[in-house]
Amino acid sequence: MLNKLGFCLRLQFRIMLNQSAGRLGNRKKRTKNGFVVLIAGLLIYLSVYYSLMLLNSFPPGYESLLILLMSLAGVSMVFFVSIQLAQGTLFAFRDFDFLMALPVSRAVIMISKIVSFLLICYGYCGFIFLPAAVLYGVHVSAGFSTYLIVGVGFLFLPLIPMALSSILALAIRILAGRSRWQSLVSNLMSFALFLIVFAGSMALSFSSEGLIAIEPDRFLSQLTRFLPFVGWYAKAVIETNYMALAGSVLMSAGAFGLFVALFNKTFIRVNSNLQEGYHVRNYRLKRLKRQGIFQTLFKKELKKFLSNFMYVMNMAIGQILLAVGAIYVLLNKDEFLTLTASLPSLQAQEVTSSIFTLVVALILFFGLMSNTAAVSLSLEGKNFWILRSLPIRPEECFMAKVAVNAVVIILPSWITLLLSAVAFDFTIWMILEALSVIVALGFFVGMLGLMINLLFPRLDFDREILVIKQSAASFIAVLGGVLLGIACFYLLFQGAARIEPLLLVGGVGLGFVLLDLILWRLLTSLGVRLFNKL
Amino acid sequence: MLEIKNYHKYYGEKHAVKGINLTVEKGEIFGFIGHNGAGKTTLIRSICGILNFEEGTIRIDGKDIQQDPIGCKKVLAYIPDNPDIYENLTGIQYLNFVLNIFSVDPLQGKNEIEKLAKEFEIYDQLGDSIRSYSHGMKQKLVILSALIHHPKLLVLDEPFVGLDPKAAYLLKKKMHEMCEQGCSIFFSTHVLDVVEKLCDRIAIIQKGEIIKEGKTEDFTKDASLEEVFLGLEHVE
Repeated sequence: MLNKLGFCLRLQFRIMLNQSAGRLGNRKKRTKNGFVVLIAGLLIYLSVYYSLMLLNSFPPGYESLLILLMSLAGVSMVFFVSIQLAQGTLFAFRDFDFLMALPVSRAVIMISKIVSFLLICYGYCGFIFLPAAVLYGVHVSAGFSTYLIVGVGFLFLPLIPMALSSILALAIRILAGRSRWQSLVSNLMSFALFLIVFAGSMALSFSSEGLIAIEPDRFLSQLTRFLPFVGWYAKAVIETNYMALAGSVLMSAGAFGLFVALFNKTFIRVNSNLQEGYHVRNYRLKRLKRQGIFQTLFKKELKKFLSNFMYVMNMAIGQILLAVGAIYVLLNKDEFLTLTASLPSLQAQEVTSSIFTLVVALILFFGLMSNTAAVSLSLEGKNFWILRSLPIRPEECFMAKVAVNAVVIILPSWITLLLSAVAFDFTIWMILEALSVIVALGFFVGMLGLMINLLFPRLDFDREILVIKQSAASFIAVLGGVLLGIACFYLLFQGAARIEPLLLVGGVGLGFVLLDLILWRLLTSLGVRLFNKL
Repeated sequence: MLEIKNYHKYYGEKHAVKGINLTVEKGEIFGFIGHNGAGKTTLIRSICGILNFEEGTIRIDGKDIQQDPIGCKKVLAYIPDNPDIYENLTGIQYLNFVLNIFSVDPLQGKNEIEKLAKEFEIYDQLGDSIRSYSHGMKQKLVILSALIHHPKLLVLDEPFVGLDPKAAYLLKKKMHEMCEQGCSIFFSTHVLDVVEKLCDRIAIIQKGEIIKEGKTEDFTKDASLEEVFLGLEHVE
């Protein structure tokens, strides 16, 4: 039994490693490994930098807030990420048939899957929490016991969020069933769950008082009340309290053990059912619709986007947050007004103009992060032969991918703008100008993303999540989008003190139109050449 | 209909296909055989405009695939060796996608799909998601998508892999019918019996070079195609 488990575990690790390396030659593999190390280094640096910034912002005696905040952040990260990762890792994984054909027990298969899933969760949780814990330890000159507690407790910390999110992911899969709209239903439910958790955490947050003003003891008691395993763990680290550690470990291990026992009964059945697709009874062919090439490609592209929850959540999360934020602002107008009034660079303007500038800046920021086109070409994967063998011009293919990205940005951004316009009485010129800027922004993001994808394609993969989360194009587009968003924010805020908002936003819009023209020219020349070489 | 002149393909420094010259006339079935890795799929993917090549020309219906790829692809249908198609679509959605790309009249397309889907026995599954299809069903769907827009040139790469005997028989029948209507067919396979019975002309490729080409009857005058093929391999 142990030998077989060892074999399955080694197999899973090898698959995980190979997925990162892909099918590359030695030189390319080395380059790629270097790139992965670079990204990991950058992420650790960001984590350290963020923790250090937090630590320096706390008044003396409040350092323990870092442990409280970052343990909560780590657990939240595991929860959110593993809802997505459970699909493809615990459910509907590609090697199901292969593993089932092996002479190993079902429990061994399940344990090997859970362990490999757990390793991913440790990665996410560790990247957030461990640098903070080390910084805290150094700052308070902690002894060996503290580090021992950090290490032991950390092994158990992601167990409950991982189990909980797996159960939720499983529930969503079962509820979505094998209907024709399985993907859509599954996505809507996952999205609804995300909103509930998001709204819940906002309601439970201490934001109105500001982080600095939270007393660590109060935070700890709140944390222990709502998430005892995190609270006890944080208490154990802060107070070097072995009893609290034991409480956290026992609770996590107990809950996880229960999860494994329950999951063991359904694991194979659920995965077996997931191998089946949607079937129709008594099918009758109805009238077919005639559509142009662009419309056909656009529909195909949109279906691809909407049918993949991970694609939506990774590449359009900004738009979801933006729309949710707009509704929140509409309901909490005064809070937004207070926030705007506190921003020094916007104080030179009258209230409506300040808010208009801020809303446009937010729309630009979230829009620039929402780059669906950046992985759209890679996601063609093994289906790429279809686009290449059918009479479709590369430009038509580009236009469909860019248009989907534009729609993904334009619709939520327009809703945000119109809701803000209603709440804060924007003038008609402001509305018309911002609507146009959003259109230019949508096409800019789409074309930029597509260009990035053409430069960094990855057609060889076995799971789409690898392209969406781990490809160079996805990383460059998301990070580049954040940097561009910050640049736009800075430009608008600095400009707002000197230039009239309508003129300023108009200038930014014009800039996007010019960039659109340049990018389209680039796509239809260099882009086509790159496409033909793929 | 298909004219290949001095075709060369390099993969980095490897000279994979070396100076191929071939012609497929209107209404002709051309069989392309060779061992694994000989260069069959490389040439086929270049004919279909999927793979670029460094030297030579490929002309389809008088048009150059590199100069006018869209013009060539409008009269061409390709059936790959591995039917990787959009799994998030249903069978009928995929066929409708292909019909729209070729601007086929919806009513004519519907009738065509109905007839072919019933013949290939996947009519009842057209509304199912492609994800639920078996390899053979996917292959049948790809065959349907290639036939519904009435191509002038049909290019097939190992088309019989994964097909049940009835579907394989039906495909052979369809290939014959299409040729009678003026369609040209270029296909690769390892099933030598099929080549022997179906093809008007045959070419054998080995290590990127055509080692023998001619009419089927010239190949099989004194021995079976299998013996000729194995004999040539042995000589090499």
